[in-house]
Amino acid sequence: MSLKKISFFLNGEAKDVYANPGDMLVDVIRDKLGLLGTKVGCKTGGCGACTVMLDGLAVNSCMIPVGKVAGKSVVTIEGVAENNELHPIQEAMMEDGAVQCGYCTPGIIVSAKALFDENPNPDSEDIHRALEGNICRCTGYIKVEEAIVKAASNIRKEG
Amino acid sequence: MIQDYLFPTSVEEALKILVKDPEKSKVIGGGTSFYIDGKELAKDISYFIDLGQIKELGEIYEEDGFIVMGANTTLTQCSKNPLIKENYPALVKASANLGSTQIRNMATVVGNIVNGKPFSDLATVLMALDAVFTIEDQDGSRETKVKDMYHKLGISALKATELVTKIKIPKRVQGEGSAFQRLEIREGLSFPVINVAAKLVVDKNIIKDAVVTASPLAPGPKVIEAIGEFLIGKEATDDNFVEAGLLATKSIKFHTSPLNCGAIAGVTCKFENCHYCLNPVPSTAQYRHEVLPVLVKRCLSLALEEIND
Ligand SMILES: Cc1cc2nc3c(=O)[nH]c(=O)nc-3n(C[C@H](O)[C@H](O)[C@H](O)COP(=O)(O)OP(=O)(O)OC[C@H]3O[C@@H](n4cnc5c(N)ncnc54)[C@H](O)[C@@H]3O)c2cc1C
Ligand code: FES
Ligand code: FES
Repeated sequence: MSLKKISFFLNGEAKDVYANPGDMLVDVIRDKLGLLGTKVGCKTGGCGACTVMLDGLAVNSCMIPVGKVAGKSVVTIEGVAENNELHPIQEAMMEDGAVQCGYCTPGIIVSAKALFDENPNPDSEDIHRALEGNICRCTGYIKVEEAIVKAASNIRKEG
Repeated sequence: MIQDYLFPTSVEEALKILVKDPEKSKVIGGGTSFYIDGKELAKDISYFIDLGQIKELGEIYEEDGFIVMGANTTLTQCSKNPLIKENYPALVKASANLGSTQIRNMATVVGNIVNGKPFSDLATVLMALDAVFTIEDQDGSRETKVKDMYHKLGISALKATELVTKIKIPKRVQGEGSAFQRLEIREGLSFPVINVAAKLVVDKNIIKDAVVTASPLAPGPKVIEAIGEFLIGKEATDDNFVEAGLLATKSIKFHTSPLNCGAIAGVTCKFENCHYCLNPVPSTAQYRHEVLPVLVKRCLSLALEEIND
């Protein structure tokens, strides 16, 4: 096993991990760094459960060799709440009952955060596009969309 | 087993590393196609050569009548770029709809062609737009069109010591429009059942040029020559577009893609000319032939709208 030191920013903090650079980012986040919020559904880029932000963009962490993130910034679901305060999207998902089994939820929240960071005023088309890569087997998406619309309006009120 | 993950900072440096041990090296753009080949790769590959930090490959600019797109351009960047938007509606449509936001944020346009998949959305469009690929190795550079990018089913014609550095597309001319249509089982995260792209040049409602391409056909997309021959010199009318669609279906041959050969589940396909690999969406040749005329007609009408806009 050939391990390399790989340094990157995880949820704002500098991290060094020793891993094979060909290991997938999601495995390193979960198994080496112990952050279990990021889920694994398919490992083929087809479900979005593993979504994290890489330099601000939503990506599938199951498709990224960890070597690729050297020097970059990775944000997982654990980094979405700031200063002990939930992000408006987290609040809205809870209030609206947009979570059932919860397996897809971290990925959906990270995708929604990436959307809000780029565009605080998304229309329904923008929301659909941002969530295109996140599969949910439980909710039927309606509550999820409602929660995102509500969060967007709360962000605008706060901002 | 991967020994090292390298980030060359210039094309020259990348080529130098690549030539040392080409058989054990793998070039990485976005890396999104490795889920298919990953298991095999892990055994045979020692070096990942990531192009992500080569600044010169990250630009989109205009030069000598072409729009030039560096090899690191992701689908997201392509679909949002002002020069691309101004020139190629078909390319915007295709790059904005492939896979999902997460995939488009990583996947490069070049990777979508070099991975050699016959269902490539971008190859279908780039062929219609007559794009040229610049390929470099240590001995120099050559240029090639989409049709020469394929060696055989699933395998590109690129040598192990070569890199694609840019794609050049002729700038839109007066009276030109383009469009892309893909038939998909659901919106988002689905491979295409069939893809059709069209470029149309019209002057006073007379068709000066018409190029229509389709996929999945092996090994890459194809230009449906009969359409150009029929349409050029005729009026741009619905009737002629319908006729063009009917001609299309007589002049190309789709395959049936029936059973899961395993390629999508991370196992390399062992069949030669496997029709599942042609397109991982199960569909029959007959169905594809029946919907082709509709998509051709739609594509031509949309390309015409793009001109008049
Ligand atoms: C869930 C999912 C859905 C998808 N849906 C579609 C779809 O609907 N239609 C479709 O067409 N595709 C689809 N794809 C495929 C995906 O979009 C392509 O794999 C992607 O465009 C490849 O780009 P990349 O930058 O990730 O390439 P990589 O994976 O980095 O590379 C692909 C190949 O090209 C080589 N390569 C890359 N760049 C260069 C270069 N500059 N020079 C030389 N060699 C190079 C690599 O060595 C590798 O062999 C899908 C993928 C996933 C995961
Ligand atoms: S686990 Fe990564 S997309 Fe499904
Ligand atoms: S809540 Fe169960 S998968 Fe989405």
